[in-house]
Amino acid sequence: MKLINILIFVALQAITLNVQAQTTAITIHAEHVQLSQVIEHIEHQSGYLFFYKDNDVKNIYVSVSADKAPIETVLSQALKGSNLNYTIQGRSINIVRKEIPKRYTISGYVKDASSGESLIGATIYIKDLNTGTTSNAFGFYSAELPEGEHELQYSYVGMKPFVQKVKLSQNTHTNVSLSPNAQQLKEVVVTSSVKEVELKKPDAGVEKLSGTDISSIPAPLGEADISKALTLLPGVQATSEGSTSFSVRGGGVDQNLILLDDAPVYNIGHLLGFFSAFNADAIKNAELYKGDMSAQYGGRLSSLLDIRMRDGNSQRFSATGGLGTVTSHLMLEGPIGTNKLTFMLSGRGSYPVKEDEDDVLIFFYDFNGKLAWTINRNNKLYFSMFYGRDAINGDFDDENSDIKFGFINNTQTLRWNHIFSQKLFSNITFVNSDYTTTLTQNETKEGINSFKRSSDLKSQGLKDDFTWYPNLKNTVAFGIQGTYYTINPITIKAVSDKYVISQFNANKINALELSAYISNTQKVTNRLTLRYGLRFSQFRTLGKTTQYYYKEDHSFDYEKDFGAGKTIKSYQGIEPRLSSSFSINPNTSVKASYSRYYQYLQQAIYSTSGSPFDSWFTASPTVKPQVSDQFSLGIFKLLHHNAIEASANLFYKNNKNTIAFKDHPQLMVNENMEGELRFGKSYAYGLECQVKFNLNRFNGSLNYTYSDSKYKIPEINGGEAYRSPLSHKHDFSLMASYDLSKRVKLSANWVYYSGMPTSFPIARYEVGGNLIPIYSERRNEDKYPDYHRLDLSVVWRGKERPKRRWHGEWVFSLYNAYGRRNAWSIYFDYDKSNQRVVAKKYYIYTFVPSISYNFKF
Amino acid sequence: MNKLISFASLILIIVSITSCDEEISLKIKDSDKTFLVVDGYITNDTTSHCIHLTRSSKFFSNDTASAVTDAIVTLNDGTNTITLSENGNSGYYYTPSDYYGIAGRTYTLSIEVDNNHYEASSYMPENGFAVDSVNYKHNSDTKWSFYISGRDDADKTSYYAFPLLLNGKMITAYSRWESGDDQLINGYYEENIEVQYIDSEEDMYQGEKLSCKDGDVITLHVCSITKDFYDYLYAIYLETGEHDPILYPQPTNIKGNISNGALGYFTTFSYIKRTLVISDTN
Repeated sequence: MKLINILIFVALQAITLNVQAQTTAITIHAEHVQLSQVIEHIEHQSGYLFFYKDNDVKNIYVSVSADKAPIETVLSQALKGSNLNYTIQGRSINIVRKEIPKRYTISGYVKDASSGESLIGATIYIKDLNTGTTSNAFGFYSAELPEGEHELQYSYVGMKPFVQKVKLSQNTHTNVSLSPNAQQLKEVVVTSSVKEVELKKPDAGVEKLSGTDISSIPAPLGEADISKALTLLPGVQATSEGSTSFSVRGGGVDQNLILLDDAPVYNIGHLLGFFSAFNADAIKNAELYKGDMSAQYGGRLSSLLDIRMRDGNSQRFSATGGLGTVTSHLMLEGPIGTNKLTFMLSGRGSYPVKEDEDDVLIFFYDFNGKLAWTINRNNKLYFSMFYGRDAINGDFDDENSDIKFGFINNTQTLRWNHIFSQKLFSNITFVNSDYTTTLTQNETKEGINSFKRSSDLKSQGLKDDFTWYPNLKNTVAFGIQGTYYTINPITIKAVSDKYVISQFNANKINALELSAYISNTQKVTNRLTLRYGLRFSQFRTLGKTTQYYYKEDHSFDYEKDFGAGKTIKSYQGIEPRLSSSFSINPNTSVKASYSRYYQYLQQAIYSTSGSPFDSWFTASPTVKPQVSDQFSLGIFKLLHHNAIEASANLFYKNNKNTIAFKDHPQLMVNENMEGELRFGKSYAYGLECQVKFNLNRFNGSLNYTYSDSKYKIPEINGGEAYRSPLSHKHDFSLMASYDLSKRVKLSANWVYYSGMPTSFPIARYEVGGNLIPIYSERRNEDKYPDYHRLDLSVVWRGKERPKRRWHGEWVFSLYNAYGRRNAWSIYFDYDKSNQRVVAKKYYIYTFVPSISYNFKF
Repeated sequence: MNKLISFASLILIIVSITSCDEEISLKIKDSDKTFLVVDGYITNDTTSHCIHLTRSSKFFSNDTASAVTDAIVTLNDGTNTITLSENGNSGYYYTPSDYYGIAGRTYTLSIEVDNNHYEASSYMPENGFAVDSVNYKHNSDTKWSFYISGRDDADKTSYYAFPLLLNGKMITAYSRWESGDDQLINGYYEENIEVQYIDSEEDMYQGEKLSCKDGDVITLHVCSITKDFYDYLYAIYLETGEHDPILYPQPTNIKGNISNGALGYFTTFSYIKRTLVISDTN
């Protein structure tokens, strides 16, 4: 107490002395008085002469209170809050209107110099203002800056930063091209600013991957696979070995919204998910939002995987391709005529697998295509398409049957970018996405078992998204979206008229999903950035169809016909989204978020990883939309001159109207599928830790996730909460790569996670000649043996020759290097010859070596 | 009819290219409780119908299920009650040999054992399929398929199962009863529906590989079963399967229809019996 008193005393003394040192001391007390009167009063006391325009001071009322104060203090006080300024020259004082510094907007596109591809998420850092902005999904950026000279630094991972000095005296449009870091070995440790700008962004749960990242991660059989690359990241879990389906923060595999150039893709695997549907050649960039999605996106509870295809090289014709163990792939791109119009076309096909003397034929292929047309500075048009197909044909003489499977993904996207003004960017998107599965049995053989089963999901969507850049502190996104779904869950009919079977048609589902959103990203202070938004979504199922209704006990009650366009049931919801980033210091940020999501469309998955046959269904009179409230809190830190990024992030989510299937549901041919559903709650929580390092030749990351997710469904497991099979408690991965020389790169991944929760028998009984297991009353309290494996790869690049455009590389990879036999399924068998019960496991891969050759010219 | 077979074969095709299976040793928590297990059915056939009472056992035990003897087992058909008699101390309880079930009735089985009362009821459906003929085909060295021809009753929603007997002995366990419903054939006359098979590579009986030879007598039962029993058979199919993560749900206890915490199933069904003799000329 004493010390503080003394300090205050000293401070007061200093002020008094200071005041006395001034020559002119003014005493004035005025409360809401005309400024001209105040001026008069001061002139009178001080002898200063005032010059001003009458118009400027007219009707300005001021309050001022001073006792023997210096004139500067008095004037500052009097003019505070007005648009006036003063200057003192000798004994005269000028009062003038403040000059409002003019502000101009600088905008444009950020591109890759070598290919002309727009760069998504490039950072534009304004050095003198110590702030920045980022390019959007089309490479567009906009920043409003005060008039004058600024130093702008454009940067992007893997590219040489580009520094530009701009003297702003009018609105400016600047397209900037960044060149790749030619020096493979001397990775420029990107000077602080980029990562520091990233660190301040209020998006905690985003993972970014480029097409090259995806290709460079060792994968089974050498096939680049985006899902498998994602499952190495914290918070993303593999469902089962060899599956492309993944779970984000304990969510279901149908809770991930997967967009390829804005078109939803409903089956992301080939051959039951053993291979990815996405050809890495065609992918420019992929971002996974593990929750904390902006209000622009909705419709799924767990995540958004936003995949963007390449636009096509605008500089020159080029080709990328490769020969692998399972597939060959080729991508062509280039300008058509001018560099205003570009194309990208990529194709991939597996080598047909023939088994058992031509009885079985398996193959898959896919195509991605894109046209990008820069009409003028303010208009761009993009058309993209994706077509992927699996064909599996079997002819089993011993079964006297033949089977044909088909899985077809088919999407188209048309987008029109229009720049209304440098501050208002708009994008209109039309998408069409169609997923069809067919199963034809006994096309050529006789008998009842000859039928064709098909199911399909079509969706057409139109959306208009705007981004408004009012100033550097705010970025406002708003828009409207509408999607129309047509689902034909199952149709079964006879293959030909020769064999009669009655046609089976599960009722068609028609639905319309409408939404509108607005969101602002605001730099509140230099330390605090907020993103807040609201999304409104509405979903209605429509005729023409027959709707089934169910009783309390889930048995069929009655049916009702609805005419075309008649609303059967509608739901709506408001989804608040809030995220924040607070920087404790330039190298440390704390990020927190809360968001709510609605999901109206889901897949009837009753197994752990699901299969491409699992049909999609919507909210309905029986099925309420699933709702999720999610919270996250994390700390993000840059270390070692920003070469190391460390983070720890806590999440919690609470879901309502969770859908689960009753025990042993009948789903294959069932008109009353909704009668097999049960409803309840679910929740998940976890901690995700990551250390990413970028140390000259040595790059990689360490990831660890602790998480748990549980369901609580009144009619399942006696109403007790039970663990989701996707809940791997501990999930660890290590990714590392080392550039041995300019031409040789070594990579290794090590993955370890807790085994899948399951129930093992505690006893058995015998009925009808079968041994039936008895499980504990508490479901999923046991677990599979823990999963672990090591993958290795070596990339060996051909010699660079200055005049040769051909770049080739060999990739040697070894998946599951030490050949661990990780259990894919555990089951029990009766060993009849020894008359005993045995436990058995299936495992898919031991060590899998593969070689592929990739080229580019 | 074997809905899952196509799906399962897809998995097999793909998985067989790389996957393997092997025996593992697995530590499990043995339950210290045992439960009464009821297993049996009453049909429209005139014969000595049998109810088998056993107790549950340790999962990896090598012993056969222990019999529950000296129980009082009664059967009520809605009007009359009969008492089943145990054959020695076998745990097998039989109706009189002239007993037959009547379709449309609901049967209630009551069991008194160790001062506990257990009960189960089952409705006996009528035959839904008018069988015209049965035949077979020797499809490959190891596989014989069995077909039926006939008409499904258009007015009924029927559920079927097709147990198979070889030389008078039941060789199909519940998981191989190949149950199905009539959604795809409702009201139609169908020829050669494949309903059963014997695959000597995978089917075994009493420690011997199953196989057909000339002169073997095959008896096919075309059973019209209840929806509940159809669901029960499907649950057995799932729980005795290979539990791969693509097609199988998480392991879960199968719900039977016996009261008071006992396990197993008591059911009733109508069936039509057809026999054929395997001969080389086919």
